[in-house]
Amino acid sequence: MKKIWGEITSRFANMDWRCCGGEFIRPGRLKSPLQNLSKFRAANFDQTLSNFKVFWQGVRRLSGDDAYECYLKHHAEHHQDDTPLSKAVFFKQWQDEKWNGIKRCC
Amino acid sequence: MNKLLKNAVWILVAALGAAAVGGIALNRGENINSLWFVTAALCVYAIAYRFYAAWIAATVLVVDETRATPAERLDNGRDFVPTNKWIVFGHHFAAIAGPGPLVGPTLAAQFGYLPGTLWILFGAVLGGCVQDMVTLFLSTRRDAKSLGQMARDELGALGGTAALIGTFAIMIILIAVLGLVVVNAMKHSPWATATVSATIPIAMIVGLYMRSFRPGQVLEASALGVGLLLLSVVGGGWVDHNDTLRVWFDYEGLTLAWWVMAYGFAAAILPVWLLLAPRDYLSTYMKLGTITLLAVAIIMLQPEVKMPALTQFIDGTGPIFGGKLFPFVFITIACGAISGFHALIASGTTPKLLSNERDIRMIGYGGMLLESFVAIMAMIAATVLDPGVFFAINSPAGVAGKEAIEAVATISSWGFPVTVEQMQLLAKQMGEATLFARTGGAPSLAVGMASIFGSAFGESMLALWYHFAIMFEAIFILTTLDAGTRVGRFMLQDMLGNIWPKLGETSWMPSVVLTSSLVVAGWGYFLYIGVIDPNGGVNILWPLFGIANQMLAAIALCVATGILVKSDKLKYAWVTGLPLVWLVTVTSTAAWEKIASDNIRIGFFSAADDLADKLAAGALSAEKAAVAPQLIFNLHLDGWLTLFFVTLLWLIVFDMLRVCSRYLAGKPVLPLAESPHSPSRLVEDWVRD
Repeated sequence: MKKIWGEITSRFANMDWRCCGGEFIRPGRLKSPLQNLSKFRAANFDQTLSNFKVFWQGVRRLSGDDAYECYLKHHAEHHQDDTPLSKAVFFKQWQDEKWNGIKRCC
Repeated sequence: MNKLLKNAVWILVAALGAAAVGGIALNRGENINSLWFVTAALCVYAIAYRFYAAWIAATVLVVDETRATPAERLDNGRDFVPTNKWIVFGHHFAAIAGPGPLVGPTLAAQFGYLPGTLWILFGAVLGGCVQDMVTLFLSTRRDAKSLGQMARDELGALGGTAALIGTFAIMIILIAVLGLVVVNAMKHSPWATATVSATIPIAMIVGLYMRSFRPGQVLEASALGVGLLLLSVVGGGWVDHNDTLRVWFDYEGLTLAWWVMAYGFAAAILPVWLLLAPRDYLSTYMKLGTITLLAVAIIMLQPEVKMPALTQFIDGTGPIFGGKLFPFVFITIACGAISGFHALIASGTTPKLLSNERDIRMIGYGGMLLESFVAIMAMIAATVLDPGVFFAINSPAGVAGKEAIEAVATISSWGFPVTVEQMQLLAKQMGEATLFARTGGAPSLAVGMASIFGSAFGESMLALWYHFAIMFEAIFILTTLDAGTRVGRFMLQDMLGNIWPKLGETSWMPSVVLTSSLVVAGWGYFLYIGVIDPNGGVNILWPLFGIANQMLAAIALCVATGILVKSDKLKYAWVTGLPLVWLVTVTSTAAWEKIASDNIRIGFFSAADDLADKLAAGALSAEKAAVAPQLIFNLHLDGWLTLFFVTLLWLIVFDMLRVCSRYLAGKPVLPLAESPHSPSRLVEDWVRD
């Protein structure tokens, strides 16, 4: 029984959303038009653009689109000695690992 | 002053929520605007999240934001990775929200809108959210261990074994009932069948694209897939209008059931990258997109809810499933109010990403609140239909009558007027030959969604919206079916590996084929019986699924209550103890009625006896007599299965009580398996920011 559980839990719990970790910019608020209008527009445009970047970063991270970039970053920080995997090989492993276990509910 | 203002806002929210809940509850005899439902839900959620969840986190669980989580301590850049809380929330929600909260409320709408709505709201804030959050917390404190392992460590071998069996059983029945929902939606509908079949090659194209053509370009491939899926909805319509092609996709329920089984088998043995993974990407985008669209459409349009608050079917004579309001509404709506399955995601999977304990409230409690809101929207989509139409779509032929005239007469006699012309017009608008007797929830939900989307974004495309909604439900039902069959296969291989190690090797093809066939045979059997049952197998399968799911929730709550008592928090044990008592009451009552009731629409054994008597007396038509022996066997099997579930449930409850009473009497029990405190280094960084 103990063995079954050990096996199952290790297998089921193998979730791998390989993300780069903590750093994640907060979306900012748009500024109010207290100063002159063109300044306000320019500031808001920049803010909208950076908010969109944050959103896009979130979408990429949630979908695993940036998984390889995150892997390279992790690799550069922790395993400088050996060469990193190629994108195709990495992706193959990533996908196989990710799909072992209860990933979806009713 | 600021504090005063804050208090005033919360008092306002409370008053508004009370008014909305009261409005929903006391409204009789008139249509009620769906905005009341949305308001009631949002206010109840806000209050519960702000006060109850915060209190549980701070006082009962005592989350410690300076404590390193397993993701930080065991960070391996692979499965344990500290992750931004919004990303974790996204993963957690995408994992817990499946077809359950869409199907359950639709079926429960036969009692009227009120019972289901109240149970979704209060079951979630007092039960489901608490279960998810507490399980997430306990697993985080235990190196992200799974529910089964926590049960074994904290209660003993019995709890662990029960969780294992419960998980396996729930998987088999869940897949069968979801398969039945898809079959009932595709039955004699070339458009739906063509569209749903097209999702398989589309998923494969996406899989190949991500694997070979442009490795790792997930978003590119998904965008391509979503585009193709939308095309497949249009393409299905084209097939439907083409006389030579449509016969290729026009099947009986039974033929479709065999196809679904063949598909499930193929999906379990094909490599994940080819079918399962790409299908999951597509279904996740479709799911999140459609749910958002539905929320926007409901808020924009504020459709009128036409179903009465309560129908006469609370007395147990309901056409979709038999049984009184108590306990069956609580069994029918599991996901959306409280779902034991979530405990499997909240333990083991999500904690590996959690970067700080203080996010537990938002991810555990908040994630389930959002799922509960999905259930409320499903309830709205089902109840905006004319009640007559709702019952015409959902009542099985065995109850309402096989012919259209017979069915409308029966349904109108219940006090829900509907005409053959009305149903024909509706079917024509939706691009279907008929909408009668499409039990299972998906078609009526699709009609509801199509009418909401249609009035928001243009009436002319009703048929497209209908088939979009069918495709949307089918695609993630099939994902659950794929993933569930694979998980079942792994579990079976693990168990059989104990007998003969070779069978436990997940890459040994004979074992893969053997175990996959066994799992498919398991759910395929229930699916087959569900399809040949003239009363529509949903009547049998959905309550069984509900009982199994609530049993799993009871296991999770037993583990939580046991741990609270062992942590000297007896005075707070009611937080998980009360939902547990309620679940045990509901599940036991429902199981007892399913086993012992004399009513042949409720009791499995009495239905079997009745059928056997009729068969012996020759009172059945030739068609029914042919399947009667199989149905009788199945009813007996279901009865014994229910008895097994409820026995298991009580064993765990007694085991938990044994552990608690031993602990309180000062006798030795298994020690708390919490991992030792180690300070978080991530927190300091944040404080400096």
